[in-house]
Order: sequence, then C-alpha cells, then structure tokens
Amino acid sequence: MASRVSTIPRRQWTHGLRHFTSSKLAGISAAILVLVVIIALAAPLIAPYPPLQTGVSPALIPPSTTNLFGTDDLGRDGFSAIVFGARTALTVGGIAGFVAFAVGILLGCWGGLRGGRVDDFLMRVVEAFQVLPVFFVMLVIASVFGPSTEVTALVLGLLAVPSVARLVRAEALALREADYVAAGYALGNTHLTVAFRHVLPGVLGTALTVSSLEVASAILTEAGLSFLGFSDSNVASWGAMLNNSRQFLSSAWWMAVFPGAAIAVVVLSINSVAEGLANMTNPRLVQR
Amino acid sequence: MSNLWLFAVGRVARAFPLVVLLLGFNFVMIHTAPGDPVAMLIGDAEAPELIETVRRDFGLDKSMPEQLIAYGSNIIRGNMGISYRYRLPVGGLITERLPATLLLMGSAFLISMLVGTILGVVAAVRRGTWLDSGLSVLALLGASVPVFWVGMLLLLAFAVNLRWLPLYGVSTVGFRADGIWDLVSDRVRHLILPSVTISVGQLALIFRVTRNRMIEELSKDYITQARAKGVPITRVWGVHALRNVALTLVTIAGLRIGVLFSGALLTEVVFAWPGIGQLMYGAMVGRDYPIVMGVFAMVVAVTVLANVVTDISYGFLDPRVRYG
Repeated sequence: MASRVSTIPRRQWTHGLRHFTSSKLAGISAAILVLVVIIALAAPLIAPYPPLQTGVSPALIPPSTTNLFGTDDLGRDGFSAIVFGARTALTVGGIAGFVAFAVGILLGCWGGLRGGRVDDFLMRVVEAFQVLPVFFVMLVIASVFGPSTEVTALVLGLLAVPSVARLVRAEALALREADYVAAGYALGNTHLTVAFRHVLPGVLGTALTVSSLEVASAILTEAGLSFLGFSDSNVASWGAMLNNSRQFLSSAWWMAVFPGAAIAVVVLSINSVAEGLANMTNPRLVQR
Repeated sequence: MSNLWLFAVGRVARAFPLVVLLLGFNFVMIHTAPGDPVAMLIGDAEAPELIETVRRDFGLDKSMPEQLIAYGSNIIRGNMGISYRYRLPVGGLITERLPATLLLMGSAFLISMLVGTILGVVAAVRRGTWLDSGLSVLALLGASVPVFWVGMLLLLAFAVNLRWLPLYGVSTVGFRADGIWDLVSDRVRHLILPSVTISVGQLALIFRVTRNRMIEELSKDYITQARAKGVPITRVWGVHALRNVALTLVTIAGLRIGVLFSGALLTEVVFAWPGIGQLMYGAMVGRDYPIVMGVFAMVVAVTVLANVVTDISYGFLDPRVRYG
C-alpha cells in the first residue's frame, strides 16, 4: 500500500524533470549556478590574489593574462574580487531565499488550512507588505543601523515572505478540498500531520519557484545597497566594486563591466531556473 | 453605482492600518538613529540652556507617546522636520526636487508601457517563432540586470565613447538656449539615457505579462467568434484581446510604483539627476536623518496611494471585480 502511494509522486518527478531540461536555457542556467556555487566555496583556491589587498599589481591596468579582469585604482585584482564577491551574493540570496521559503510555507499552510480569522488576518498582513517599497525600507535600515550582510539578508528574506505565503496559501486552500486530504483528516490526523504529510508535497513546487525568484531579487537589492556604499567594507561585493568604478567610468571600463556582468549572469541564471521550475511544477504553462 | 463607491471606501479604509504601521516604523527609526537631533542642528559647542530651549521647542522633552502623536499630526500637515544640513524644512526640500524625479519616472513609465505592450502583442501573435524566443530571452535578461549597471553601460556607450548624449544632469551647464526648441531639445537629450535606464526592468515585465496574457486571451471563444464574424485580425488583437490584457497591466503598473521609485533613486545617483533620489542619497551619506525619513514617508505614501487608486480603478474598469 505504502509503496503504491509513493510511486506516483516519483513518476511525476521524472516527468517534471524532463520538462525542466527540455528548456535549454534552464538547463544551462542550472549548470552555471552549480559552477558559481563551486567558485564561491573554493574562492581561496581559485583567486590568484587576496581580494581586498591593495597594490598586488599596478593600479588601473586593463584586462591581461596576469589580471584577467584588470585592476582597480588601488591595484586590487578585479578577478579575485569577483570570485570572492560570489560568496557575498550567494550568502545574501541564500539566507533571504531560505527565510522566505520556510516562513512562507509555514504561514501559507497555516492560513490555507485553518481558514477563518487566522487566515483573514494573515492575508491582510501579506497584502499590506506586498505594497512596501522594499528598497527604501532597506535604505532606511542600512542608514540607521549601518551595513551588515547578514541583517540585510535576513530582513530581505522576511520582506519576501508575503509573496511566498500568498501563493502557498492559495494552493493549500485548494488542496484542503482534495479527497486525500479529507481522508487524512478522517483518519484522525492533526492539522500538523496533514500539513506535513499531504499538503506540503503539493505546495513545495510553487514555494520553491517563488522563493528562487526572491533569491534573485535579494541579490539585486543587496547589489543596489552596496552600490550606494552601504556594504560591509571587509568583504568583497560586486555592488561595492561598481560603486568604486563610477569615478573611473571614462578611463577604466573594466572596473564597471565585469562586476555588473557577474550580477547579471547569476541573477539571470536564477530567474531562468525559476522559470524552469515553474514549467516543471505547472506543466499547463509549458503548452502555451 | 453605490456598490462601487462602497468598494472604493472599503479599499481606502483597508490601506489605513498600513500607513499607520509605516509611520510608526519611521518614528521608531528616527529615535533609533544615532546622534542627538538637537546637537546635530545647532552644534555641540552651544550653551546647554540653548539646547534645553530647542529641545522644548521641538517637543523632545515630552513622553514617547506624546511625541508619536505629535509626529503623526505633523506628518498629516506635511511637516516633516528640519534638515540638519540645509537647515530648511524637509517638506520644502522634497517638493522642490520632486518634479525632476516625476519627470524621470513618468517618461520611463511611458516608454515601458508603450514598447512593452507593443512587443508583447507582437511576440504573442508570432508565438513560437525566433522573434518570440529572441524577445523572451531579452526580457529575461532585462529583468535580471541591475538598473544602475544598465545606466553605467549606457553612459559608457553613448556619452563616453560615442559622445552622442550628455553625461549627467538635467541641462547643460552654462547653456544659453536659442528659443524654446533649443531648450526642449537640450532637456530631452539629458532625459533619454536615465529614463531608458529606469524603463528596462519595467519594460521586460510588461512585455512578459502582455505576451502571456495575450496568448491566454487569444485562445478564448470570444476571439474565435469575433474572427468568424469577420472582424479584421488587427482589430481583434488590438481592441478585443488587448482590452482584457490591459486590466492586468493596470494592476502590475500600480504594484510596481515602489520599484520604479527605487530605480529612479539609483539612476539619479548614476546620472547626477537632481531629484529626490539624489536628495535621499546625499542625506544618507551625510546622516541627515530628517530627510531620509521624510523621503521614505513620502515614497510610502505615494506607493500606498497608487495601490489604492489602482484597485479602485480596476473596480471601475472591470464590472466583475465589484461583485467578486
């Protein structure tokens, strides 16, 4: 009995995976992301120089074989800074995405299964927070408390909770009416058991898709903050590199082009993986 | 009609707690901000009696709840405090710079709506062709690049290398216009790069939404019926289908006002555009908290208001919403 139940989702899973890889862009993007994660983890092995050490090379030299992405005004190696910058970007994106995912599922399932007043209240809060100009909230927090990568990531994650919770709640609401969920209740299970056993697998796809979009936008927001100078100056950050490049735009194009391209590649990959995930979990969209 | 007004009033009432909550957040932030506001205003060297007098004048000797109420009523009257640096009322500083920002946001909004909708319709009716896939990939890219980087690349290309367009500002310094056309063309030349910069992300979104909603609409029965009746195909696309898509676009546009504001802030910094974004950036660097909080309160107010207006106009545009 148990084995029969578990084979159905597995078949759907492989079916979905075929949908995912059928989009070339999503497949390539997933590969790029894996590569970026490896680069971030192995940064000290890959980067030829310490990322923030000044004077490792002459200042402002264009891309060459010794300095792949050139050097900045203080003689820091651009390539090394970009390699280490991947850590900052992925940390912010990862923390924010995880918080949004976990809290979003929790609140979404709770509201969707419980219904009534709890649901009403949660949805009001969610609706209100969706209007919030996130970037400005972050600016105010950064200017009052000073820049911190972890605080930025955490707050961005919390601000992203509503968009995950809203969609999870809608799915949970629909699932509540499904026969197998009703059967779960009829067997005498608690809300918690039903939520974990029967509802969670159904909402996981949506939650994953929305959360990965939030990872992308968290990385963009962090880049914007550090572009304005609100970043921890002890860690390499792509946004901070772009901030520094502004004064040298007309003389040192490489200082502006490479960090921005790094952000664009990572965010684009995450976005297209999210699109692949959406296609995988919601095949109806693929046929369009 | 009364149904609709009830809907509108209800929507406004529902926005109220959010505004109160955000003003509360703002108030807490002002009091958490490092530095004594009075010392920031008049300097530390002054006599202690003077500091006491100023504290009383500003109501800073009162209890926190009293201060919160005073803050609320001040905000409602448009009184947002005095800038540490300019020593002028924040409200005035904001209204002085708001038109430049609105001009930027307005042009970006127009560009993204116009181009995004047209390209979206084109991609939808040519679905599955190379044109459609090409545009879709471009849109994905447009939604992924940081707005300020787009600005820097455009500057690099068109102002630094090609020298077609000016580097920064709203107008040429020391420029003497030969009549009105000269003046307008100088302003427009300054406006092009920053407004294109802000529009990129928005354009990508509008394109994607238009394309997907158009494809959805075009598969519906009323389209087949219109075609069967002999309505010209361009009219079916442009009038029948697009009209239903427009409802979705209105919602998106309303929800995205906050994003447009943040795009404007970053773009103003890149292009040295003298709007409220620059004002806020300078205030953040110089720890001029009344301005930071003032701009924040203004942006929040506009964003919430835009959403309320969108929701209500949606009710007016689509009869289904009222009874839903």
